[in-house]
Amino acid sequence: MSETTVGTKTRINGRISGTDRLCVHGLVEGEVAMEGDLVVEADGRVEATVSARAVNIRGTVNGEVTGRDKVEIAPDGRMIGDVRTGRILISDGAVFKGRVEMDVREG
Amino acid sequence: MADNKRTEIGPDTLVVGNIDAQEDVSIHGRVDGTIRSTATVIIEDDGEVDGEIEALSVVVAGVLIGNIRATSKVDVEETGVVQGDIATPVMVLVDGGAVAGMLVMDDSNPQPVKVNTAGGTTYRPQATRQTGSTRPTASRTAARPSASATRTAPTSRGATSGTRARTVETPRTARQPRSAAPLIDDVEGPVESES
Amino acid sequence: MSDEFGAVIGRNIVVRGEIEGSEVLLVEGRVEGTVNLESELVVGVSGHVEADVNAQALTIEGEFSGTAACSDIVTLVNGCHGTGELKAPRVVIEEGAVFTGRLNMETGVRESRGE
Repeated sequence: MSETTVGTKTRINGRISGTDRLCVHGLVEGEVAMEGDLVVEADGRVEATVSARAVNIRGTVNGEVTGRDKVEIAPDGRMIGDVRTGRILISDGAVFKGRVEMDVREG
Repeated sequence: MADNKRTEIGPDTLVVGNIDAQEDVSIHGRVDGTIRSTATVIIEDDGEVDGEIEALSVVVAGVLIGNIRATSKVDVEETGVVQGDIATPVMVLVDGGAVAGMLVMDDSNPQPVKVNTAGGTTYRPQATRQTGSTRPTASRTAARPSASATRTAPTSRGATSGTRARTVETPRTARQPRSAAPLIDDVEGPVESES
Repeated sequence: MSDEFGAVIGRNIVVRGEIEGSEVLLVEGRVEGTVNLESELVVGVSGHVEADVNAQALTIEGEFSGTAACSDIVTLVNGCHGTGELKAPRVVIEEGAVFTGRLNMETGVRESRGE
């Protein structure tokens, strides 16, 4: 599986889509619509509407996040915005402000 | 992830918008928009850019539809295609590479590339591109089979014609200074030209 | 390709007008006008060509200004200086060559531009 990396000293302002894994060290503004996973690294910041398979937040995210598989906010992660996902993990120490809507299957 | 010194757009990624970098940017996938870097922008042989590039140096092994302003050097490799104007003090075009456009080689007083990676501007989806994100990758025609063999998506001429026409009808003299371009305020040191 | 020359225009020769031929021509002097060759035109290091050129190949080591349409290849050698318009299926620009003008190469994307 291939990967897209947004470097520490890079800003992308726009829409990022595709099937690669997306790894953000720098800044992404706009929209992220990945079929693969999104990792926001400790030095990464995402100011965007996000949808991805699994979302792993070690840095900062401001925006609405949809993680089709799961959303994980690491101990140093910081997330402001609503989350919609199947599974969520908010680690001890993580900052999170927003609503969580889980896709619960009836049963 | 191990390499956080550069930005790399993967082969299965599409960016519609602008990339500003104070580091190398390597493109395997597709970018529709403007790329600015104080270092090197590399369009790999599986990469395609529809937009402008401003950088210290630019390497084109893939396809660029748009203009280049480089303050140091432009390399067009054997598989490279540039449909647009090029302004650079030094240029190398390898046999097999193709350029259609104005070439201005002038090393007098190149303006350093300025980028802002700090953010703050608002994303405007229609600002850079009229076309949607689902536009298929344009590939080279049979005239350049070695390159098109690496492409995954076929050309859809109907879908791309609008953008192509825009590129044709607004040829810009590459020498034209871009200092008035937006997104320029936070400069991390000037870029020196080798000239 | 430029090892043998059928004709040489020496350093102290100036030609104004039209040159036609089917052998390799090396210009070390000055040519102004039109050059139609079925082979290669070489603008030598001391050569200065201001012309509309039709040839199989054009190699520029010295100075060239004008238009060139080549059926094979244009080569801009390190140290050369060119202006004008070049049209050829193959163009090589060596590092150190200087050219300002238009390059008309078939890029393959042209046809997909519509209209």
